[in-house]
Amino acid sequence: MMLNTTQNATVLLKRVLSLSDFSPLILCIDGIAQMANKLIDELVFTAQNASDVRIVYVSFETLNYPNFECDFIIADSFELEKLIEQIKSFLPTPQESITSKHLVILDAINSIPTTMISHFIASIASRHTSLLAVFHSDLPELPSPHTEHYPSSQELLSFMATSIIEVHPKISHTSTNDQLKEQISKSLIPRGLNNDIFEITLTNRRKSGRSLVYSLEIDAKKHVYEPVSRNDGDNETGETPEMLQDLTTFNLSTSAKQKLAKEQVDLPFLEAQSFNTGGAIVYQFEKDDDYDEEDPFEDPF
Amino acid sequence: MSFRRRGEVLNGREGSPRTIPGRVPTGAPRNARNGSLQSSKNEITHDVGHSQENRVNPMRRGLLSSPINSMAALNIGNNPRTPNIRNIETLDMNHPGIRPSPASSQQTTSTGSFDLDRVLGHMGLPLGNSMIIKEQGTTEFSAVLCKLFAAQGIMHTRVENLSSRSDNTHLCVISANQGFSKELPGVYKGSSKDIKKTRIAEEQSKVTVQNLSEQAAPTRYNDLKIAWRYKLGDENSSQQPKDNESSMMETEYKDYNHQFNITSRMVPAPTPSEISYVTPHQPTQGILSQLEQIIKKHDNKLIRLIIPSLLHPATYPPTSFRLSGIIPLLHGIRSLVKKYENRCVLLATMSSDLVDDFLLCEVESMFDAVIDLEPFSQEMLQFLEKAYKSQPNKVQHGLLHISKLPIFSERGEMHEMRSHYAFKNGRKKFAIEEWDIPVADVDDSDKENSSALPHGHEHANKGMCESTESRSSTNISIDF
Amino acid sequence: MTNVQRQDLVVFDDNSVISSALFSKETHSLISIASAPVTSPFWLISAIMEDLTLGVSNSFNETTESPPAKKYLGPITLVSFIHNAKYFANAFSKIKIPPSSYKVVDLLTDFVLKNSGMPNHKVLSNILKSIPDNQSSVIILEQPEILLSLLDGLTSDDLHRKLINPVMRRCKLLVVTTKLRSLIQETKDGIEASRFTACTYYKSMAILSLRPLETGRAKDVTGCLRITRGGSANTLDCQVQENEYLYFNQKENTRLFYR
Repeated sequence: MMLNTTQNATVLLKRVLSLSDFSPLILCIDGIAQMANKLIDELVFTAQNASDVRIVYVSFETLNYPNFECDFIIADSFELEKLIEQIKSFLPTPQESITSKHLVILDAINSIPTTMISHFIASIASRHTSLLAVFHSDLPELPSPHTEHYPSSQELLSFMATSIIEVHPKISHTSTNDQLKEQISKSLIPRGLNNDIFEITLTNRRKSGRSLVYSLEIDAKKHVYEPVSRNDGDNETGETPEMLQDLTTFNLSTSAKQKLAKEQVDLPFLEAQSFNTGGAIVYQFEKDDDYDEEDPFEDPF
Repeated sequence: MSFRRRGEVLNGREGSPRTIPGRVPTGAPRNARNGSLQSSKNEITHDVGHSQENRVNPMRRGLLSSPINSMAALNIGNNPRTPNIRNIETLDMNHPGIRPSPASSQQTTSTGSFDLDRVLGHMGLPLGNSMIIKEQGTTEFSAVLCKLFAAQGIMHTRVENLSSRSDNTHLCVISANQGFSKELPGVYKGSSKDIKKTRIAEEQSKVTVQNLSEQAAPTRYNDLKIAWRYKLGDENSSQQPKDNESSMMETEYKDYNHQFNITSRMVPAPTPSEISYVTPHQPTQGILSQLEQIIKKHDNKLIRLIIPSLLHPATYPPTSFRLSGIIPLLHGIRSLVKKYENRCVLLATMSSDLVDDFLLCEVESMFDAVIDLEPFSQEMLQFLEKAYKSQPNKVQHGLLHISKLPIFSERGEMHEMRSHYAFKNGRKKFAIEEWDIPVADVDDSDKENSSALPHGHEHANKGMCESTESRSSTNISIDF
Repeated sequence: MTNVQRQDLVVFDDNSVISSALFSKETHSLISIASAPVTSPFWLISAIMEDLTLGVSNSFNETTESPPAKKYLGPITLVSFIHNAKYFANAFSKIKIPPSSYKVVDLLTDFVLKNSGMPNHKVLSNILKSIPDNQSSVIILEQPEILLSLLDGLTSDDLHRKLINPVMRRCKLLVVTTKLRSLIQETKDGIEASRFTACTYYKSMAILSLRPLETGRAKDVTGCLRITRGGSANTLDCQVQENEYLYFNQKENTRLFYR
């Protein structure tokens, strides 16, 4: 069963990246710790390998032409309506019947005001066109006083998207997620981020209405995807019968029936086992105490 | 307005030919301190001062002959109205209120508080620089520094001697309160005993004035200079032969810094020709153009811009508290100070409790030097009073934090010092010293008063720990 | 001993401060310098200026044995909201940067007087007009976020759209200095300011941050310089050499040590 889901994850990611299932809006949520550039490159690489894809790159952030071939639009030179027109000029009209796919990449949809997002996406989306929108999750956003009850950009986009890919840095063992967040909240960028190897969380919404969530690690240099198992740690603490095998000639393992019986036994001093009832010896080390840690017979109690 | 009249008043009443004991620049060697004490006790120990002077002089000569100074001297000197651009305008090299910074040789003017001058690292505030003094709580220590800064400017402009021109400084106060002039402190005349001695000396010097006209000016000028002088002992300079160039040098900074008595009032109060007011109740452009007019009108004068209680709600409307209200004003003023950097300094004070951290940070970024006063809480003061039972004059009033120092910080050096200094405001001096938790005194007083039980001793120690903690935190906890 | 520990400033993996690879392609790059209020980045700007004009950062790089790398000969424009032309002239003459190699656009002097009452877009377009357009140039922009305070109603997005991006288009390399501030802000102005910083980070290829030591003041360390990759995709032939230095700035000299 386990094996099955992991296979699913890689296959599914490949399908998403190669645009083989039509997906009107792929939302990519990133942050300064791991930007979506590498994922975009990966997606373009996979998609172009799979089939003929024409790409329109709408840039809000960079002035540099990307690594792949595309129609490049620098968004800030246009007002929003003009920008929509401009993008559309590179796209087929809905009436046309063409076989090639079209992909519009928006490198920072944060720049589009929350209230305009749905209009913007509706204007561009068509049955030939997929939209890949990058949203920076750690960009401070000002709540607009006029749209108090309107959803935030991220909520809005997540609601509309068919696939959501969250990009995370692969965190080394020395630093924790919290430390990373703390550093970034101070606008200090730690070293070793924005690497070629990173992790993603893929949320895929099926036509059936089901929504599947997978975690994967991507090596953008080698184009390799690996599922990440999040539930490590839990398994190691429990004692499994397999661990006791082959240790001795005695039979140490318990059968399922024996285990059940064992669990049902009420231990005599259950009450006393909850240590909060008092009577515990509380020892506080004092200055004059001479306690030798290395002496096994020295008992502080 | 004639200076003769003022001079007479000063001569008769305010003159004091000696340094105040205990007011010693820390940079001076220890024996110099002895010398000054001696000379203040005994009027005739001129030799001591003399010999010190000679020792000190080469250093000073070195400072003065730095290339920047000589260049500046070339630039202006005699023809102050250079037809060229305004930036070339520089002050008279003999301006009594400026001296080169020992650290950067930049021209620097005194803030009116010797200790603050020292803490700033330049023996003053370098020209073309701005400083903000923030104060936590509702105390008014920053107002004291503000008044000292103003009074020092007035003293400079009233200096009268041969080498430097009087009417050399102009104060420009951005405030609606024209009563500011009347609140300025007068010069400290010494203790009552000193004042009596001064009068006697005055009588003697009058005789000298009548007889030896040549010596008149220096002597009188010497009497004017009351408080602290740069290298101690130069109070005896009037005794030196006039042709000695080093004595000229010596007198160079003698009116640089004065000591003020904040319980007294400056007599006469500054006149409109010495101080101008610009009301903040007008659009930013109005304030800025008015300021620039004042600066231009008083060309060749040192302009001391003062903004007392910036963002005081009584003076500044709520719209000023918006970024686009206050920052353009400060940016404009910064622009002016830098535009006339050869003869302009700025001091602002504000209460840091009324604005949020973000605005405070933006305001600070417009200044070259940032100093923060954190007055002690009642509890802390009581603790200190207890600790310094035997020496009540040692009780400090608060901590002084430094965020930025002029010139150094801009270059990239680190000068943030939290809880490094403590200040105490006395009648005749705003003292800033290194902050130490009183340790020995507590033990002593404990032993003296109650035959120190180990328990009580421990208690005192506990108090110490707590105060160490409060020292590291910005706010002294109230439950101290 | 101290000589052994001293390090040269290296930002790119070809051992340079500003790699010549930046100028080899038709690209526009952004480097941001973020600094805490108490750690002024001026020495770093000087170092970049030295590297560009003299080919070596004399103020602290010691290894001068190798002949200076290819000097950058294109124009350099310094645009500042906090310093006037004279300040740069004084500072740069001390480190022997030829005055002919750079131009200063002084947006401090009389900026408020000149621009009061003008609509924001006009002010921004005037600023743009004053900045020369040269595809091969380097522009150093000091604290553009001050405009958020100076111009009423200006948003971070406006500033990026109408100033930062157009300026970037006018040069090969744009160096922007900003304030190091928390991205978690409570006030509206705070959010705008931190949004500006974050946006600058996304666009940067390298981020150089200067901050004081967390442990407090030290007598022989000014602060910490951290060099990290920014958010921008790097299409160039050189990579940012991520590094963290301790630096000590004293009497117009800077020394770097590895952390």
